Amino acid sequence: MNNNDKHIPKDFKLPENYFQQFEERLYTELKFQKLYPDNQDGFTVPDGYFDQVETSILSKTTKEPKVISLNYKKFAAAVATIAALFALLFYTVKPNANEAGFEGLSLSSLENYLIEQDRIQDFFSDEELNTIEANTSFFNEDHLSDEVILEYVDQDVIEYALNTDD
Amino acid sequence: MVIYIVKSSRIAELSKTATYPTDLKFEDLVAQYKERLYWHIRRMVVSHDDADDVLQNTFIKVYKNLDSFNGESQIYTWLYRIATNESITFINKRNRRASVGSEELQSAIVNNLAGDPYFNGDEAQAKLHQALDTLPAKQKQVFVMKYFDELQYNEISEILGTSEGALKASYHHAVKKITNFVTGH
Repeated sequence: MNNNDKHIPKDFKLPENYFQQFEERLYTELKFQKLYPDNQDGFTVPDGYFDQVETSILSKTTKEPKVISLNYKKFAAAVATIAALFALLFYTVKPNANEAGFEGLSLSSLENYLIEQDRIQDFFSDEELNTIEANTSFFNEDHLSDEVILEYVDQDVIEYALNTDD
Repeated sequence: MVIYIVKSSRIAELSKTATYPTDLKFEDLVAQYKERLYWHIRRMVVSHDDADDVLQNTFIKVYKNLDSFNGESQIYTWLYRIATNESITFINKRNRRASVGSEELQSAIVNNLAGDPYFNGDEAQAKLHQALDTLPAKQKQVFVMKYFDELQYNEISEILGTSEGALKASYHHAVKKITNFVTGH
């Protein structure tokens, strides 16, 4: 039993080895504080930067918001529907297939990305990004193009599903 | 031009909470939080030019996603969360473009601090950044928020979605590793 344990009131409990861990944490912190008493990072910014950046941000956000045309929404919905149908077909015909491919993509992620037409990284998980990167030329494109969407739908979903044996 | 960030239909809903002033404008948000968010981002991405890009992306995302702010959290924890996610997204994207490992690229940036026109720290501070560079991403985030940004554990918990106990453990491990790195142990 640790010497400190005899001071613990009967009605209280502590995590195991609490006082030893407390001392270790305390002395680590004191050692660090001695090395770095001030939380300064040494970074600076150009003169007048914060005024300039505020102007820049406000100028970008006061532009007309991007209007999503009804046709594009319909197209996005159509792509999502086609993908969903082929995914369903794929899993119905070949329920045990585990090969890595676009079937692992979240349809909601794709749908959100198509609707927002924004940066791809904001709408997909890391795992999904890796799948896309491995299967398309997405990361060679500055903007999402119809060709890239068709590459996704045609080459990797439709062809894969149609050409699958079984 | 005045930009109201709260749409009229949301004012009544938001006014139920005490954490979000309903008359706050986007301009006010930028004016009030640009510096705090910049320094938070800068400590993550290190380079000023990169921090500038991420800060602008952060506020553009804030502008676009105002409707998704539910008023249940403090406004600055919501902003910090977006800034943190944008920083991580940026670092991952930067690594993809450079086609090198994340540690390799980040180390090159940190090791070039002496030649950075926007770094005037001393040798000890440069060493601190090198030590930070050796930490796992999560530990670095926690350390930056606690030590540099001076956030409370409950605030960091809300931003990162991690329990306070886990955050305290992460911070302790970070401090220990940094100390060992700097003292050569």
